[in-house]
Order: sequence, then structure tokens, then C-alpha cells
Amino acid sequence: MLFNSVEFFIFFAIVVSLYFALPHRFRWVLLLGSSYYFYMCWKAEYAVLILTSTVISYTCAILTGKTDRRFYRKLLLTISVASNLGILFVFKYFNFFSESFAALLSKFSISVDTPALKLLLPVGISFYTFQTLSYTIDVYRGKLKPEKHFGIFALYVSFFPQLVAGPIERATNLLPQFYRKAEFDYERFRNGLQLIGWGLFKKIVIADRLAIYVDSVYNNAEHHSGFSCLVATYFFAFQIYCDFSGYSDIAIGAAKMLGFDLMKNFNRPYFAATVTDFWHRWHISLSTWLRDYLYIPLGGNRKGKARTNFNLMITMLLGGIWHGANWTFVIWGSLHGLFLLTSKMTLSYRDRFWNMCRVPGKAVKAVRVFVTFNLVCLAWIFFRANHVSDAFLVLNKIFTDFGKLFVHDMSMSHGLIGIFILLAVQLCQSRSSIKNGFNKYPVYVRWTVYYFIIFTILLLGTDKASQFIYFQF
Amino acid sequence: MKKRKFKHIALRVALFAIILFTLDRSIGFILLTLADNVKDTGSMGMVNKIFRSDARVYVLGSSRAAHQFDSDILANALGKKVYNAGRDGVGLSYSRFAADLIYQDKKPELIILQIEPQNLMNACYYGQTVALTDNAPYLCMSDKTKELLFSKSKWFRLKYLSHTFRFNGQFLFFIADLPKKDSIGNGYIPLHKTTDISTLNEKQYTRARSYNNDASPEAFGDLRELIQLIKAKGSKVVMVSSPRWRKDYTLPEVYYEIADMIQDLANRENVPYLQVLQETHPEFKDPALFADASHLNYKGSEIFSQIVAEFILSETGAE
Repeated sequence: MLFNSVEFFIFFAIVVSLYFALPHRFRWVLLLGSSYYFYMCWKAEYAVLILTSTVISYTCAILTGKTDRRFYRKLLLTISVASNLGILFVFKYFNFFSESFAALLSKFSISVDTPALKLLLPVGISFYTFQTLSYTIDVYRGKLKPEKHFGIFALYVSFFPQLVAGPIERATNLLPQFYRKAEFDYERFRNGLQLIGWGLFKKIVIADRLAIYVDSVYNNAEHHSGFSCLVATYFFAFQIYCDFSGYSDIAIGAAKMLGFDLMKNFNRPYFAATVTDFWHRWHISLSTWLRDYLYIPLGGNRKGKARTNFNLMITMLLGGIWHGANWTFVIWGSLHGLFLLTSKMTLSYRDRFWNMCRVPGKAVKAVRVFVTFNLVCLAWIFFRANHVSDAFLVLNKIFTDFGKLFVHDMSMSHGLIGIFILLAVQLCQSRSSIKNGFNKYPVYVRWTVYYFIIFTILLLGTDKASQFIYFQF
Repeated sequence: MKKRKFKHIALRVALFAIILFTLDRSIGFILLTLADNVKDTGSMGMVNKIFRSDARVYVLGSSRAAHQFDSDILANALGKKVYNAGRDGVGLSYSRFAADLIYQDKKPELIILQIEPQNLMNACYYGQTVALTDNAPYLCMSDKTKELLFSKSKWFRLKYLSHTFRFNGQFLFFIADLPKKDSIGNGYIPLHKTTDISTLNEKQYTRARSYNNDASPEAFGDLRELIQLIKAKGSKVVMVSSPRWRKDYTLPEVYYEIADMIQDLANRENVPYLQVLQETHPEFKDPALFADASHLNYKGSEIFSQIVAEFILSETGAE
């Protein structure tokens, strides 16, 4: 069941109606049942996986809370982390590592018949695994008391608005909200609907239209010119942003309508002035997760320059692998690690250079935003390419065989109009928080905007529900 | 207090919905009115041309109709005004749609139905969504189009309640087409290029046997229905298949099988069927007559249209 499908809106309308009709003490049952139903719409059998992950994390956390002995606490943490990562490894990474191992051996003329599992990747497995991991680690660190109510904990792991593609919620934020009695709140309901509408606009009008162009170029890169590859790469930057942030907006909006506050996942990432800044704005729930549960435990920046750089590289590399079992993601993560290192190392030189040039601050920021955007786009080439060789082909074409632009009227015109509206809205956002400012406008202005969004979706959007890119992760 | 607030919200929601409904109908109506003025070759322009044409003979079909049936040659030979209603990138469903439009207010004497074995394969039949959605603004004029479109997705019936959504994906193009002048008077769009034989040879492919290439029973059912509609409306109908470029002058086996099935249908329905192949008409072994592997250029079309005209004269006895 996709967020951009009619099925979801019927499902959601029923859930919302029942949710506010039911007494508070029964609401978790409704949400848990709906969440499992929502997940089982993809592949019913995989509900067993999420249930297994839930049971393991719940049990380990409860036992951790009952003992003060360091050894047992560590053992329980290890069991929980190993089991959750084990499930993730088997379903997502086994074949990748097995094939890579065989490929490595074949370099030394050793032929090995490595096993391959014929498993379909469970939707959202990386998201809920990271969510359960953060819970167990927080309990181990004593930051959080173990949740005693199994149903509420199961709901925390499977809460349908953010189950399949985040935001990766922290238990400290989400768990207490399940106990809070939510009354129907018109303001929240309206804000939630606004977010859903905006998310749908980004997904249906921009992402899905641009996808037509991007797919036709990236799936046949050898037949396209460097110019087309460059345009497709820029389009992909907006496609993936609108696809993922569109999903996040719908998730946050749907949760808001039910009375829950999910964490913000994006903050106008393409206006970032540095790659570091980009990671403070892009997939915030993942970047903060990696910071809190990987980078800092590795030592963060507390153990000298060399170790900091190493920690940063490892974090970004694993962040890349988190996205998928493919060398393209490994390179994507490594490139970002490299950008972050270079950015840190050259910061003082760059500042000195700009001071020497006596260029106005706004111009410097514009140049920095432009450069950062292009660096991010360079890395997107590897993220989007089907194979590493395709990515290098695209790069090669861009720099050596520019040629003529492939024109696809429908996706280019619709997508460009969508990008224009997106950038206009984001520029307004940079001046003030458009959401709060927007609600202060008179009703006729707000309704005009609502109708504009609705009719733009009807006229320019794609007419079939297509999957969100991040579902595959 | 709570009750009053709820009433207030309910009123707002109702008002929002009423305005939304009114706007949807109004925008749909305005767009449809604007669409009447489109003269170019886009979907709206093609529909308008059919509406405004006053021919006695119509050619229905895909790009292989639009680019290969020279209306003037046919008109001269048949002594009747001919309009070519073929359109690029469409299949059998568009021919049915065009027929429904024609029979809104016209009584043509003859319909020339360009039909290729490919049109009746599963892949082509089930891949017609784009062409079908292009016709959405005129859903009320073709029950068959409505039926085919709604069968594509269980939610289309709901989505197409919106009159604005019927212009989904076409809005920008038809606005851009509005200022353009009429570029095709009688519907025939000649192709002036000639592809060299080496390029044509490179593009040869073989159709492996698969579900996609099998004959679609639904497509044959629709073809039979279309023939019966044309006959019921008092027009004569002729079916024509046009040549393709093949370096060995033979088509994949599946084409012949489906062509035989078309011939069987034609016999049952008592409809003349002309198959123009490189084997049956050796003049089409000349690559200079082809614009690409699937389409004749204007030179090839002249010869082809003459063959079609002679066939019609011999089969229907038209003057």
C-alpha cells in the first residue's frame, strides 16, 4: 500500500475515524493492528521478521533493565544487536558479500561456488532495524527505561506512518507519545493535511515526472550524450529529494493528524553551503542516528585528527552500505566521507581566500551552495547508477562526450515547473517558517493555495502510484 | 462548545468540498472549450479535425495509417473526399475511439481500417493506456473507451470523476498547441526521409514467441465489435495491413499466424482484407521507399495508397 495510492487514503481515513472514536486505552490496539495490516499488504510473511525483531529487542531491553551487572547488560545488548543486524544481513547483504567474496577470489584465479539466497528484500527492514537498535542501545546506556507494555513497544517498531521509510524515530521521542491522550485537534489536523498535500505534490508532480527522464537516460546511458547525462543527474537530485522528503512529509503529516510528532527529516538540503551542512539537512533522522550510535561511540572527534577522519570515513561508508547492497552505495558513502574530510581540512584556506577576495557574503554563500550542490550531484551519479561501470560511463560522457540533449517533453516540462514551484517555496521558507507564517494568512489565500496544489497534482502529476525510492532500503 | 466547534469544522469541510467540485467542473469545462480550438497534431487537435472533417471515407489506425495512406491519392481514385484519422503511437483502441467520434454526427460511406498483426498482440493491446488516457477529455463520447480505460485500474472510475483530471499530462501541451496553425489538412502526414539500408538492417529484430507476442482474444473481440459497429452504422469497411522492411523479406512466424486469424475474422464478417507485404508486393523490397523499418516514406506511400485504392475499387465496387 503506497502513500500515493487511493487504497492508502481509504485505509487512512478509516484509521483516523476509528482512532478518534475509540477510547484512549484501546487506541494502541487499533494502531498496532493497522500498522501490521499496512505492512502485510506488501508481503504478509515478512510480518514475522518485524515481530521477531520486536520480541528480541523487547526481551533484551526488559532483561537489561532488571540487571545492574555490566557483563549481563553487555551480553544482552550484544544478543539484541547481533540478532537484529543478523536478520538485516541475511535479507539484505548476504548475496552481496557472497558475490563480492567470490569475485575477489576469482581475481586470484580461485573459483568458488558461493551460495545465493533467493530472498525478496523486506520493505523498510533497514529503518525498523535501526529503530530497534537505537532503543536497545539507549536502554543499555541507561538513557531510557525499558518499555514494559509489549503492545506499545511493538507499535513503536511498526507505527505505520514511518514504518517503511522513516523518519527513524528515537524511542525517547515516540514511546511517550503513545501514552499521551490525543484529542482531536483541528490545528494539528490541518497542519497534517497541509504536509500530506505538499508531500504528494513533491512525489507525484516532481519526483515521478522527473523519474521518466532519469530512468530513460540512466537505464541506457551508453545511448545518451553527456549533456543528457548531466541533466538526468540534476533531475535525479530533485527526484530523490522530492521522492524521499515527499514520503517524509506524508509520514509526518499522517502522524500529526493522529496526534503524534515525528522528527523532521529534511531541511532544504540543496541550500546547504557545505557538505557538512548538507548532512545536517538531509535525512536528518539517519545522519543523527549514525552520529549518536556509530560516530560518537567510535570516538567521534575526541581521539585526535587522524582518528576523527577515520571515524568520519567509516561512518559515511556504513551510511552508504545502509542504503543498499551494492558497490555504488559504498562509493557514494565514501565520496561523501571524502567530501566531509576535504571540507574540514580546507575550511580555513577557503575562508582566507574569500576574505582576500572581498566578495560580499551573499555571493560567497551562493558560490558555496552551488559548489556543494554539484558535489552532492557528483555523488548522486553513483547512487543512481545501476552498476559502478554505469556510473563511470556517465561521468566519462559528461566530461568527454557532451553532445546533444535528449528531450522528453512531458517529464521535462512538468518536472521543471514542479522544481520551480519547489524552489520558490523553499526560498520563501528561508525567510520565515512558511508553515507557521502560512497559517496566519486569511482563509481565502490559504484555500487558493490548497486548490492550486490540488489542481496542479490533477493536471501535471503522474496518474499511477509508483513506489518511493527509499522503500527499497 | 465542542459541538459548535465540530459544526464549524464540518461546515468548512463541506464548503471546501463544494468549491472544489465547482472548480473541478469549471476548469474541466474551460479546458474542454479551449481544446476545441487546438488545430495541431496533438490528441486534442486530432479530435477536432475528426469533428470538423466532412469526408465520405475515413482511414482509422496508428502512425502506419497517418503516414502511409495518402488521402489525395485515395480521394482521386475513389472519387470521394478522404480524411486520414490515423495517429502516432496508438493502437486498436484509438481506432474505436475515432469511430465513435465520427459516428457522433457523420455517416461515412467507407472506413479503411489499418490493422497490423502487432496491434492484436497482448503486449500492444495491454500497453495502450497512454493513448487511452489521452482520450479522457472525451470520455462521454465513447463508452468503449470508458470501458477500456476503467478496466486498466480499479481506481480510474473514481479518478475520472474529476473533469480536470481528464486533462492529466496533456494540459501544458495543448496550451502550447493553441496558437499553432493547422498543419495537416486531410490527415495524411508524409514522411520525407529515407533511411539507408544498412541502418534498416541493423534495426532488424526477431520476435521470440512469448505471451506478449501471442494474439490477444480481447483485441480480436474489440476488432470484431468495431467492424460490427461500422457495419451497423451503414458504412462499408475494408481492413488493410501495410508492409514492413525486413532484410530477408519475411516476417517472424507469429505475424503470419495473427494475419491468418485476421483473415479468418474478415471472412466471417465478410470484410475485405488486404495484406501488403514485401513477399506479395515485391516493389516494397526497395529500401528507398521506407522512412524506417516500420513506416513507408512519401514515395512508398504513393505506391501503397494506389494499391489500397485499387483493392477498394475491386472489392467494394465503389466509383
